[in-house]
Amino acid sequence: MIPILSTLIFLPLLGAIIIFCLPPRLEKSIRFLSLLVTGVVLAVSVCLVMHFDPAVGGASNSMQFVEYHPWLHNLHIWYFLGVDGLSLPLVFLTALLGFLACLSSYEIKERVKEYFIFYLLLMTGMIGTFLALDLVLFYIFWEIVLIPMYFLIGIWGGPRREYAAVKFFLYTLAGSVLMLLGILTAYFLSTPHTFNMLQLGLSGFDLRWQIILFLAFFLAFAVKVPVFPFHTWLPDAHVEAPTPVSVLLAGVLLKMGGYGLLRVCFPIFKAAAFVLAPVLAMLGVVNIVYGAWVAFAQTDFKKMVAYSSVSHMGFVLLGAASLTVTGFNGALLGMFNHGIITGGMFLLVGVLYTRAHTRELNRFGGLTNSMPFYAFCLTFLSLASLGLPGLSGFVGEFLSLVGAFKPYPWLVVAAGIGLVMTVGYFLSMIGRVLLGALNPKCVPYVDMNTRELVTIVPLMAIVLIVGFYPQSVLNFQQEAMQGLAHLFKL
Amino acid sequence: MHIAHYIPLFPFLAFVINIFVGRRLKIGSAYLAVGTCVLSFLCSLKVWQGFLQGERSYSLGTWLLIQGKPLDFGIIVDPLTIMMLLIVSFIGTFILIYSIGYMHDDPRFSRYFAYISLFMASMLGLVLADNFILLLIFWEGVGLCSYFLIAFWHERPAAAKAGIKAFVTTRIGDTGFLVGMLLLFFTTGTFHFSDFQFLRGPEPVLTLAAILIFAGAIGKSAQFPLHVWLPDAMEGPTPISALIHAATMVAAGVYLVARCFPLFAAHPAALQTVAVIGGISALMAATIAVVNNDIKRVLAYSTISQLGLMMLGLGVGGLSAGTFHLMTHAFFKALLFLCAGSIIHAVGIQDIRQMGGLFSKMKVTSVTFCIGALALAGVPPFAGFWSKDEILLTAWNNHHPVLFAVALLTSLLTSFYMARLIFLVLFGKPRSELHAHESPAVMTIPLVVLSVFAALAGFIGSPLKEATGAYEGSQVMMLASTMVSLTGLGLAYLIYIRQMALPQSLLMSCQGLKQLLLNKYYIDEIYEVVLVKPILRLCQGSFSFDMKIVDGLVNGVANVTQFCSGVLRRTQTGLVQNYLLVQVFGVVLLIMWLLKI
Amino acid sequence: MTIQFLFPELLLVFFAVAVLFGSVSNFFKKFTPVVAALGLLGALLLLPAASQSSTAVFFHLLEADTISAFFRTLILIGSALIVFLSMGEPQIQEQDRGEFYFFILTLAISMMIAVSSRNLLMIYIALETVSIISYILVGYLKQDAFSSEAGLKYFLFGALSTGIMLYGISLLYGLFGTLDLPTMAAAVKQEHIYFPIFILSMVFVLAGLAFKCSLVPFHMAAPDAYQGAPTPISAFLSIGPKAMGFALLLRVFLGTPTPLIAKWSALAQWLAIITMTLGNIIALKQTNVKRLLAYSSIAHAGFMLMALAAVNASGIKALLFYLFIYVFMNVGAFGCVVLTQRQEVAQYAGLSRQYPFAAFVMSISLLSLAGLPPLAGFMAKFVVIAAAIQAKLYLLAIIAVLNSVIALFYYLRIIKAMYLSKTEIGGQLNSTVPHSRALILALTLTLLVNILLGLWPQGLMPWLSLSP
Repeated sequence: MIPILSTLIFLPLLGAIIIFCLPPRLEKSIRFLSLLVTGVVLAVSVCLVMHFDPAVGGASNSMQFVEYHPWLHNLHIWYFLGVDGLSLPLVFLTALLGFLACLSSYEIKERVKEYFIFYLLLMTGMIGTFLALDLVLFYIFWEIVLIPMYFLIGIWGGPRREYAAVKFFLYTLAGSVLMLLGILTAYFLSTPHTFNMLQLGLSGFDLRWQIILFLAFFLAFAVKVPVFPFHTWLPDAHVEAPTPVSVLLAGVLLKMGGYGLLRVCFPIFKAAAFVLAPVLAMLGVVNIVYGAWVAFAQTDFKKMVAYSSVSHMGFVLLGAASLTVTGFNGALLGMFNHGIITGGMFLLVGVLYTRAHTRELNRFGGLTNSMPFYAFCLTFLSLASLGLPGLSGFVGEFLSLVGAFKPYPWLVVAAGIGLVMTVGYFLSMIGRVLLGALNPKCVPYVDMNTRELVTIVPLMAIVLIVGFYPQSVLNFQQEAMQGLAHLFKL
Repeated sequence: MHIAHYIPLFPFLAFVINIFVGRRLKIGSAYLAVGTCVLSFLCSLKVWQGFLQGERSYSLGTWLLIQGKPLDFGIIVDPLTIMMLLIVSFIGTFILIYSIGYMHDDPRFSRYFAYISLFMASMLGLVLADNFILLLIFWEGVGLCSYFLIAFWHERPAAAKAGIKAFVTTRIGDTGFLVGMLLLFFTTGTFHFSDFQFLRGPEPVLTLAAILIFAGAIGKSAQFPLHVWLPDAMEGPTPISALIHAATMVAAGVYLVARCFPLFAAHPAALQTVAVIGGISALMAATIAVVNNDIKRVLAYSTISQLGLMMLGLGVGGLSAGTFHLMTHAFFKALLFLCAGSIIHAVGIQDIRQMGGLFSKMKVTSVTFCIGALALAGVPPFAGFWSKDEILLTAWNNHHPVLFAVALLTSLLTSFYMARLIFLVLFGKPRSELHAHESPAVMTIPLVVLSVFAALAGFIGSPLKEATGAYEGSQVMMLASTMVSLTGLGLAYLIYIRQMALPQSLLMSCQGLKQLLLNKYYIDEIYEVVLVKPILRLCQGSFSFDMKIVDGLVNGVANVTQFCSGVLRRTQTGLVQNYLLVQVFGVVLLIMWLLKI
Repeated sequence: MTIQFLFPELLLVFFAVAVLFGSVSNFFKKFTPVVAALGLLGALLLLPAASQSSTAVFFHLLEADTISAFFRTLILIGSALIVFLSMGEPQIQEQDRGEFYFFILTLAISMMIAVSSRNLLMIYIALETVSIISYILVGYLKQDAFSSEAGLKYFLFGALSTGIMLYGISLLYGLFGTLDLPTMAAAVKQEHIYFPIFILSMVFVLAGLAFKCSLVPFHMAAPDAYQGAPTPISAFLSIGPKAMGFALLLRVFLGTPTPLIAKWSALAQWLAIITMTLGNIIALKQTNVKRLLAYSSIAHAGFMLMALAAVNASGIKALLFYLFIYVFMNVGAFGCVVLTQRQEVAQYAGLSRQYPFAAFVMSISLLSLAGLPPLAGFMAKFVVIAAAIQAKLYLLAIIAVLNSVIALFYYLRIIKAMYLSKTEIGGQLNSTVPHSRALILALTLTLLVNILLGLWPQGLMPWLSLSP
């Protein structure tokens, strides 16, 4: 019996170690090796999905492929991995985006060896975060992500990369250190003392402590999601990061926040979740509306997409705060979709950037004539992103709104403002980039090449499939979300 | 799969093929689009036949689970759907044929047919949907295609802008629609139209839900106050205007209200809202059309006005009247737009003040144009007369005197501005150098076919008559409405052909009113000042707030820490005396603290 | 026989004398560092046997408990690492190097004695020896004005501290009539003593120890000394005397009974807060790497004090673990300074491309110092914070974790220069120094410890646990 989850986590690490031992001049082999590793990870994750039994569920025990070994026994820290409907879509998302972004990493020309070492390390951290079920293990993976990300932004980023990298690192660390305190406090408050996420959910803390701990954890997750007003690292990090890193940043890292909320905050601190849910919902709507406003004012392509992420993650928060099965489903599906769509968006921004070396929206125009494939992809993903029914973005947002409608009807109405604004800024972006007369500066740009198309087409296919048949993803998450919502049934 | 499933699938297939390999197909892309549309029409006929044999609805299976309950997608088949299917596919076919001629030298020929196929597919899907969610999917699809097609000539900035305006404006209504839908769902637990008979719930909530759903219709059908996108949408190719105005996009709103009619009918306040909004739109748009000088815009405002009339008809309780008018209007409005397209195609301008005397040069177009105009003006026996008459009758019989008066006034204005249009464009002397010529057969044949229907469709009668039991026609009403229409025609004749002095001077004397109408009641300007600019400022303001306050705080924390560092490092003077002093103080302080002195 | 407890020290004395004699001859001088290293290694091997003894040994002057065993091991390992570091330091290689290693060995001996002492007089004597040798070593570079100045400052400051401490000791003798710590503890429990004087004298003792641990406000001389001293000595000062200081704090304060313990805990809590915050904040703006590391080591002293403030079993274990990891983290960082011979942060620009190994070790050490998982520094912080939370010192814990964010910023400055900066500062790696291979060895060792102990701390520290 192969420990499939450990394989997923440590395969990239192994790749990183092998690359570490290779001489830097073997750029081609390093590239190929990383592609191979991420490809195998993707294949393993597909295997995981195939062997995952969506019917296994229930309130308490829905973990599959569990690996439970003593690690630091004296410290009661276990090497505890498992996958359920909550983590499965995100693991698959990580593997998929990891592979595609690796393909897109072929543009990286300098310090290739270091790049792929950090890249693979990042993969390990991200996958580990979604699979760890021991809080300390979770925290360790959570923090591991920061280090390679710092280097990836800081070395291969744009002109203000150092500022952005440090800001990213410190900001997210500042959020997560309080989570560490939360983890330890929860450990000492629980009887028997444990770091096991599943067991912690069973030990009742008193309400005051629940709220404190919920907030401690939430702060870490809020920075990652990012929740207003903790979002300002995101535009900076996105703008400076190289394309593949932006893809992972938006596609996976933000999901870690939402995942944490659903995995840790809600099930473990149920009573606090009840008390704080309206606040979360409110913050979610602020995210939606405020993110859309600010996105509207952007002239930098990447910044616009970054703020649109802020807006979209608001739906995730709103859905989660509804504490209903529909809302949870919407939140998780929304995360999955946002990963796919925004990941694709960043790839497309990157395509343009490699040609123009600028992301200023006003510097483009009329690309639909000279780059028809590009225009098609961009339009397609923009439409998905603005929540056109029939494409995947809509389903998540819709479910979130349905879930949130009963407890917070007015907030749903307010979120409607965001829906309208989203259409506005995406269309105006399309107008500025694709439509109008062909900008003379853009004449020499050639359409997307095969590699670029290969990175983007799978994402678009998923957008279409999930949009047409959302149950394809929902089937997997249904049981877990049901179990989660069951906790909040009075 | 049932045959009904194929109806939207054919055009969708055409879309997929055209978007990817259309360029290689060249003219074939058009044939493909036309062919699939014909197939859809044939399928629609088959569905009709099936309906007559008693088939009603077909399920497609579960789409997703909401609140633990499966949401099934399916197809609804009833007279309303069949009427819409037939109209859409039939008129669509002719508009597509016409487009072959109209767009023949456009560089994005195949792209055009791809979009228009998707448009057809969405509209056909929309009328088949048996629940709100499926309807919403196609509903947005229709909006999307209208965006693509309005902005089709995107090199013109106005076109690109108009496309965005259309999409965003309709999205505002759609958001209301979505909320209303959710409200309905949470009150009654269903998204399905077939459950409308059994709706139970608190009265005010359902009324509110109905009004919110109507908001979607307001956006799509370009009713006041969300009508502003429609005139701008004239930037698109003319066949698109024909399609949008006749059979697809704007009809969707009316269709929605008709589809949800049981819901509205059960809640008088909601119905009242529909009627009032319809009345306002009808009158307002008609008055604007009276003074407008752009051939397409006159028709555009007339569309808003006629849709308002349909809403009014529905709102006063006339389901059959409203849908009847929807049907007749589809024929003659498509015809009118295609004629206008033919004229524009020939003369290259759109300003009616520079046209004139085209009748002799473009016989076919002119005759068909006249038929369309007469139908719109409500002159018997053309199609518009019958349906309009039914609306008037319903309004009167259901005791809505004000709305009746509004409808009557609207028909007066309608006949007046249509006559004005005809007289200025087709008759009199050319007012500028025009090299007009008749359009090719591929364009004129659809005109002839449509004109036949525009002339005769009224005799079919409302397709919903049996289902809803409308009022029998009354001679008095017919006479009154005919008189009104003829009065409008006569007035226009006096002013524009005979150029009589009295009405001329009468017109001159109300310049202020004319300015108001020419500027469309300044509604665009008011929106600009009240909504668009403040929102843009808000966005900019939010961005500044984000950069300066939110991010400023973050950086502020960092800077304060750095500043503290700068201050505190001064303590490290390098002088041993200071160090020793600090140490001694430290010891003293510790002792004081421990002994609580 | 209690003398066997002292076998490691005696062995070191033998080697020290050998080194001293060897340094007379130019031929043998080359081998002095190797001999010193061998001596330390030998002592390390003797330690387990030596620790098997009764509790009080050597006329009740020394204590043979787990604490002394641990700290003696730690001091031996640390000293060995410092010897390796010194072998790569050209400044020391150029000077008369024989006596240098003699001083290192004697410093190790006196610290080992100090950590096992249970008698205040013994402690004082050992401490004074440590101090004197430290002054000499700080000012070891005779030609270097900075080094001499630093040595003098360190001496003046240290003299005041030990003076205060001696005064405290004499007061305690006046109160209790004995200098034996357990006896004193028992006396506090039973008899009525004049409390204010007792507190006063304890604070005086504390002042002396706090100087060794470089706790605020007794830290003032540390940055100057670290900056001026030869780099291996800076490293030594940051680990050896600090470990010794904490060992003695453990002995002196935890021996006292419960009502006082609460007081010490409160005192330690506030001192910890001030120490870590001040150290970190001042470090932010430092441009000299050695000075920066000096402040960082002050901040780390605050963290260690935090473990002490918890006054529970987990706290003590956490402190020991933290110290152990800290030795390797700090030696790693200082070792890279030795290896690259670059003192300014700006000089580190582009190091990752010139000397990937040095940059890598430095980064790992710094990230470990910053307490990022999965490095050993994280585990160290983890257990310390756990102890604080267990003792319900929430405020302290919050301030501590926020401090670790601040700390990351200045550690990142160095990493940023090494990896992110596109400019490159020219300069030779001092691979010309004959024994630099030892330095590489030491660095590799720190690297391994920093990584492996982060992944599996209880492999080497089976006693490490979160006791309920």
